[in-house]
Amino acid sequence: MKYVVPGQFLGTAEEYIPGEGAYEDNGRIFSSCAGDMSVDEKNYRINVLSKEKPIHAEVGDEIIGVISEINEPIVVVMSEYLIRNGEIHEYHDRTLIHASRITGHFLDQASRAIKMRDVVKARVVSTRGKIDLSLERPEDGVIYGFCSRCRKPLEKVNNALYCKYCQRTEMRKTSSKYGEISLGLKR
Amino acid sequence: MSRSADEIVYGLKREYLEKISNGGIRIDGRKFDEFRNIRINTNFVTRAEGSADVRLGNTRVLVGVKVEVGEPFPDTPNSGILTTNAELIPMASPTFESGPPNEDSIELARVVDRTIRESKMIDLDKLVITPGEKVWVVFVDIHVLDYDGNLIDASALGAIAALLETKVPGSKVQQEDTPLPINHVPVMITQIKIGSNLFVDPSLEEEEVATTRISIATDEAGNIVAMQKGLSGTLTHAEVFKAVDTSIEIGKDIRKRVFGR
Amino acid sequence: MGMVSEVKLIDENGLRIDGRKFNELRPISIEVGILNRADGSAYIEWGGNKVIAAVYGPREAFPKHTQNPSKAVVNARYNMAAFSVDERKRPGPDRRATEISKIISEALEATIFVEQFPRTAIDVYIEVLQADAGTRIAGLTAASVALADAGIPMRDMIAGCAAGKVDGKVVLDLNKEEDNYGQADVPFALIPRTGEVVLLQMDGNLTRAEFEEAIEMSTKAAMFISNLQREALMTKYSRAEEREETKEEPKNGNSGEDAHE
Repeated sequence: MKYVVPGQFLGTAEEYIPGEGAYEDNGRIFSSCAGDMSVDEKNYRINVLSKEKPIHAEVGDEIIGVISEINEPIVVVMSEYLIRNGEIHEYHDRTLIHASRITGHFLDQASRAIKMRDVVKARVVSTRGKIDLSLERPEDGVIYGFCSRCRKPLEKVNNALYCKYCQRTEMRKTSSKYGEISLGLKR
Repeated sequence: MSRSADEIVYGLKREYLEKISNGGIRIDGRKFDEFRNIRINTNFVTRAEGSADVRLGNTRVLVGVKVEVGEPFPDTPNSGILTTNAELIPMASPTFESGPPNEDSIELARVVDRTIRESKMIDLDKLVITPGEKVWVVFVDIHVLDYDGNLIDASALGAIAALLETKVPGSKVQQEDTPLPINHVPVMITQIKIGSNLFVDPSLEEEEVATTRISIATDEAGNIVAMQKGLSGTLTHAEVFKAVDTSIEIGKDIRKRVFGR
Repeated sequence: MGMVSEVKLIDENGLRIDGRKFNELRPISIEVGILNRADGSAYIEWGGNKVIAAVYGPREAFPKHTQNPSKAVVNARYNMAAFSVDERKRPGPDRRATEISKIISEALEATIFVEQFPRTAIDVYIEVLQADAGTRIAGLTAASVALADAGIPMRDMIAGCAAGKVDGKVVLDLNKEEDNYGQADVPFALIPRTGEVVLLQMDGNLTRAEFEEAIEMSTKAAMFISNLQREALMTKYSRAEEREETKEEPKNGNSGEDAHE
């Protein structure tokens, strides 16, 4: 591996294909980023990986966000954090969940399992054009819910959420880690 | 960004910071009355009559002082003029916007101004060139470069450090260059309330979730010279007095450590 | 430009008032990654100029009507601190800063792969902390490095330098006195790899031959500055490597196949 900077010559187009962080100009390949150059000899690709690359959601990342809109069958999540390889990053974007990706079973209405202002942990399943999330895994789902009558936080009792002030139970697709995920994690 | 999403996330963060503070811990491991590392580099801008580049943890503020000839205010013909201005430039934080000073930067400038003015740090009466006609005008300009919380204390430290190094350019009026006449060295200490605990020198992470802020400037004698309660939360009488005691005590330590006075 | 030169700017030995030869640059140093909050940053000292550049983005362009569905919008904001000049400058943008911001934005857009980030904004903030002629080129030079530090893909880092005419002679990199009393000033910047011109302004009076001489000199200087930019990035990189204490061999980025031919 070698550290290169934008505009630096990496190789010729006869030998290699410009991969990530590289571009071709008149048969010659140059770096477009400051970062580590690596050569994928099998595929004849030259890549430059920048450490400072702006973070973009990728399939498999985890998102923590707040439900801001329910427009059946689509739920809009305003994302706040992105977790990748155990590292937490601030990440603000508009992400979507389709009703069919909430419980893993058929669900006629997303609002049966999710309510406005709930905080959810979700997994990114697609990034084509828009960012789609899924809540199907047991650890994904609502991590904090608020009573739809009094707005106070709900407690998890068995598989449902309970408001001790209103003495009511509400249904959600909860995460197996309900209430445990701390937002005080250092960025 | 949707405001309500922010509020929920801040609410949850606040809950977390509150929980750990009840166990005596701050998120970055500091004690409740512990400041972050303070580094000051004076005379950074040689074109200014005085300047200081202050780093308070990861917060960085540059203060420049210009001293120019001007006319006195009609009601104080025998007194120099102090004016303080602050710029929260968008370089310093993704949440700062360009444009004319907003209420946050005006509050910051006014709180720092009061600290200098009310402590009588500068002897303005000695800044007269021709009584009633010509006086020295001291411009303190605060330029926030990197925002990681507690701009009030960082800016006040910077303004005071810069003023202590400031030269009055007497040569502009066929006089000698002299140091700015200094009487006192005030120190501003800001605390925020999370749960029922008060923390000094809040980091951005703490500041984002705080509901109440209290800034108290004290002088060498341990007298209070300026105060500002901020944000929409409240303080009990006991908390106010406790904040004053902490400010006097920490202020003394910082005055000695940073300014050697 | 245009003021009658009362001062002799070039002496009998052909040396300039600061002792430089006609084609000599002032000392330049560049430091990368000096701010915490920004996505990328760089600090440049160029003679008496002290300039910080910071980059945020690509981020959602706001307000929405500023978004371009086919590319990122590059917004540079050039700003001078109130204390950066001899006579205190009133804070906030003026017509000069607005024009400079525009031409810097356009120059940067020429090299960034803007089409990779539709609907976003890349915000570049340039703060002049101390001014000594040539601030726009110093700012642009620092901004290019800050963009690389932020990981924004581009064809090359832009480099530039001004040339001008003083006492009837074409000289490189005017200082403040030469700028004030000289006969011409040509700020100039290019894409070093291809030699394409991205910024060019001129005021004063030059013959065709003098202009060509100025551009030749500036081009040579820009190539030298381009190397300083690369070295600054390498320095940050090798420092980060040391901190990580990797077992790999120490990196030496200056390889023989350097692209600058």
